[in-house]
Amino acid sequence: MASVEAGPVTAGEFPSRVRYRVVGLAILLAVVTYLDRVCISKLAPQIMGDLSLSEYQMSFVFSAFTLAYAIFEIPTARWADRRGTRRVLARIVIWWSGFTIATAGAFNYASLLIMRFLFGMGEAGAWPCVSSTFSRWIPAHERGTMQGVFFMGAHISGGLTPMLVTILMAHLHWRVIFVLFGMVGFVWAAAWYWWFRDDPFQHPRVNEAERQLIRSGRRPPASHDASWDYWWRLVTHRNTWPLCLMYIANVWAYYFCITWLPTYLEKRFGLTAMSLGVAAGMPLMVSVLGDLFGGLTTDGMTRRFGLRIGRAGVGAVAYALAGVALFFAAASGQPLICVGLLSFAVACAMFTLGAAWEPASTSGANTPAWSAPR
Amino acid sequence: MNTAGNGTAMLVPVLTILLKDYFGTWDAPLYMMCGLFLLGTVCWCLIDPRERVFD
Repeated sequence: MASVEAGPVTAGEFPSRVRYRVVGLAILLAVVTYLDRVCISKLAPQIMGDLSLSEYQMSFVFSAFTLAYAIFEIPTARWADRRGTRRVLARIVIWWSGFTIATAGAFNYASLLIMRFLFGMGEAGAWPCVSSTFSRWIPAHERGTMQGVFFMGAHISGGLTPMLVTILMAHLHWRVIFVLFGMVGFVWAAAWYWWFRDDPFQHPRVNEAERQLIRSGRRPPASHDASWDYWWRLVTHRNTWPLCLMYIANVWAYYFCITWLPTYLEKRFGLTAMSLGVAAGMPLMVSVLGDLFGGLTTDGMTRRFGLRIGRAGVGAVAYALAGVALFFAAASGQPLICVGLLSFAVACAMFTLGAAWEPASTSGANTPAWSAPR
Repeated sequence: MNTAGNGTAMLVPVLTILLKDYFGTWDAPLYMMCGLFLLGTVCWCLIDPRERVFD
């Protein structure tokens, strides 16, 4: 690996901050990822009208993305480990941006289904690539914070997308919006390929002090022992099944928000135009608070009251609140109350992510939180 | 955990519509989510993070 020669170390030299620019680019990637992923939910009524799709057909269009995501996440992550994230990430962003533009050309149910599947193939690799990039560029003690900031960037983008789409829809056809959003991805990919290097030691702007900081903060990669014994102990462990079952609620809330939520608000309450754009983005916007305080709360409570209260107790309370909020959201029949309570419920769900992944990762199921498509 | 999540994620859009049609109201999927969160609350109570699979 050719490493660029850095200047001589001078005593008291401050580490350069190139790694924060890497984080900045990653956050922009999160923004693009969510822009392209969420926009179809707001455009769904127009697309269904133009291509005469039923609600069931549109459901499968949404699911085509999820299916591709599930299949290609791990293969893309392995590819990135072999070839480096500079090339792989540039390629997959070009790939999915290309298919975002191609979505504009969908002319019937089958073609839309295929476009969304191919689009999902590309998006599947984005977060594992960012995770892999951070493991090389960000010292371990800063990594949790940077990953949290990255998640927040994604959720804010997802929350603003319905509003942005609403503004654009007043002037543009849905097909043009897909073309515009796809073009944003090409710009990102070009900037990434031009500026980023796989390893901080190859980047000319990283000084010796920052190199040492990054090197000292690296951890040896965890080994995966995938023997039968490993799986047997995992599957029969008392925590595994409740963890999986519990997580379904979280996934439901999230997927409802990025698929049918705008249609629900339109059909149920007759919301239109800007009020619909704002309401449809509200749950993801508010969930940023959950991202922000969830990890802090579970860690603080664990220090004070131990693991059972700090993880499972915090999770149970947040879930109970979400459940109650959803009941009244459905029963209220008032758009404002419904959106407020639904947003609160989704924020509660996101609030538990830190608590949920910690027992999952320490109990042996060491899948990083990244592999959840969110 | 994530596999369970992704497996059900694919069903969310179509189940939303099925519930809406069966009960005749768009609120049905929200009640469904309410139920899932209450079930999840019970699950959280069963989880003991002090018990680890591997030490």
